[in-house]
Amino acid sequence: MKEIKYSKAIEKLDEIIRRIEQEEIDVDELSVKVKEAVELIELCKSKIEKAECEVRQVVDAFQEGES
Amino acid sequence: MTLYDENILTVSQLNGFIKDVLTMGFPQKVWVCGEIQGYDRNRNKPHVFFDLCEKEAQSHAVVARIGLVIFSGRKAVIEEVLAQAQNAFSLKDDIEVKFLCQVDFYPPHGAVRLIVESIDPTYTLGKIAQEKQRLIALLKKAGTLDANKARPFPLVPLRIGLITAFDSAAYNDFVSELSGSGYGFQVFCRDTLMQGAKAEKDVVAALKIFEKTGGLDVVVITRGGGAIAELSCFDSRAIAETIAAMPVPVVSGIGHEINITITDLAAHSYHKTPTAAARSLVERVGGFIAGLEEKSRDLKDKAQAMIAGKERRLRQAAQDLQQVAFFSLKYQDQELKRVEKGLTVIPLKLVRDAARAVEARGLALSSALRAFQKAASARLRHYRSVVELADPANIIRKGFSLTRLPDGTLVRNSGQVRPGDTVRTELSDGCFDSRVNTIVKEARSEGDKIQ
Repeated sequence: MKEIKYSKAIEKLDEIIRRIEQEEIDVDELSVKVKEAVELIELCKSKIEKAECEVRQVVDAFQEGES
Repeated sequence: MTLYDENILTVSQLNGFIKDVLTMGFPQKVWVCGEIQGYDRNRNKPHVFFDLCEKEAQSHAVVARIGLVIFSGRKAVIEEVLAQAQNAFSLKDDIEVKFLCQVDFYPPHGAVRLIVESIDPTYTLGKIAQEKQRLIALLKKAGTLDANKARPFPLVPLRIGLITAFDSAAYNDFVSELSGSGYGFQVFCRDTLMQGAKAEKDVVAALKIFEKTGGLDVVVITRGGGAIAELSCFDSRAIAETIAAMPVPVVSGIGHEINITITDLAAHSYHKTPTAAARSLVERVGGFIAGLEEKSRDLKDKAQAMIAGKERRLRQAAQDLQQVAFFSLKYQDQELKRVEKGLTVIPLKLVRDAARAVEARGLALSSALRAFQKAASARLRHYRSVVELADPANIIRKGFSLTRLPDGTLVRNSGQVRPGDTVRTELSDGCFDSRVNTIVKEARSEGDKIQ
């Protein structure tokens, strides 16, 4: 889970949601999968936040340097 | 004494008669015109005897001739008359003259002769002028007078072929004018007769020598002032034609105030005096040098103007370049700003889009989860109702019962029992035992059979 890429995470997330929607999933497995989905969502969110933060930092530094 | 005297006459008597008759017949002097012949060979004798003749216009054959004499005593008178006519001509063979004569008979020779008393120079001058005009017209028509004028006059005429009497006044005037200029003239003088019967031939010879020599810029024919006599020798067809054939321009300085010779007309240019001829050459050289100075000034001015023009253009080009560069930079700057703006905006938009997508997936997950739970519990409820339906207790409550053999075996068909057997029937709230009386083997409705 540590080194998973954002796009791969989204892919896995979509797969879990699809399986739940299609009721392909076993009830015994459900909580595990939901837990995994929630963790993926959290991972994506943190990746996005991190990216946004970094972008802002870079752009701010650039604009400061320019002015 | 009469002519018809019966007496025989002696020759002298006869000649005396003839003389008397002639004297009576020509009581006055007469003007006679004609062409002189035989004068030149006798000109230095005390009394000059010669002939006057008349020629036929076309054939030039002599049609009439008479002898003349100028007695030594009359020579002075005639020379005085010619001097008054500015010595425009002198007596010589082949010229037309008009003499005032006494018709005379010379008894010792038995010959009629004219004793020259005086001369009318205007007649000869008119004839000479006529002849000159005729010659000019002829030469003009042949192009002889223009040929030398067509020769290009050198810009710097420094090497000069001079035709004049060496060390004459003309020579000295000419040379001193040249040397006074300080320019490097080179004069090659051909000592030439400039008057007299041989002048024409000598001048022609001199011209031909210079033509053959070559290396000259210009040839000058000049002579000094003094006697105007013999100027007519320059009204020469031979000289004019030789000048026309010269490869270099010929300048003449033999002119007279009122009399322009054919040599003058044939030359490239003519001047009144040797000094004037020399000055024209000095001025030509001076003009060239002045022209050089002016040209060098012009050149300098033009070069400066050109440099200034180029400088101006260069400056303008530099300005243009600066402006173009400035605008280009400004444009690039704007472009950069636009890109920057994109850079600051687009990534954040991407991030926000991604966040929204994750959010949407969160929602999708919970809604999928809800749907799953709903479906699972619905399925469970269904299973429960099916199970409840199949529960025997529930069936018994509806009136059905179970009958078992004493060993507990469930009775499912009539073959399992015999009359007399005790069986237990179980109901929902207890059971009872009964004994089998009769066995009826037939098909019944299902409900009945169980009963």
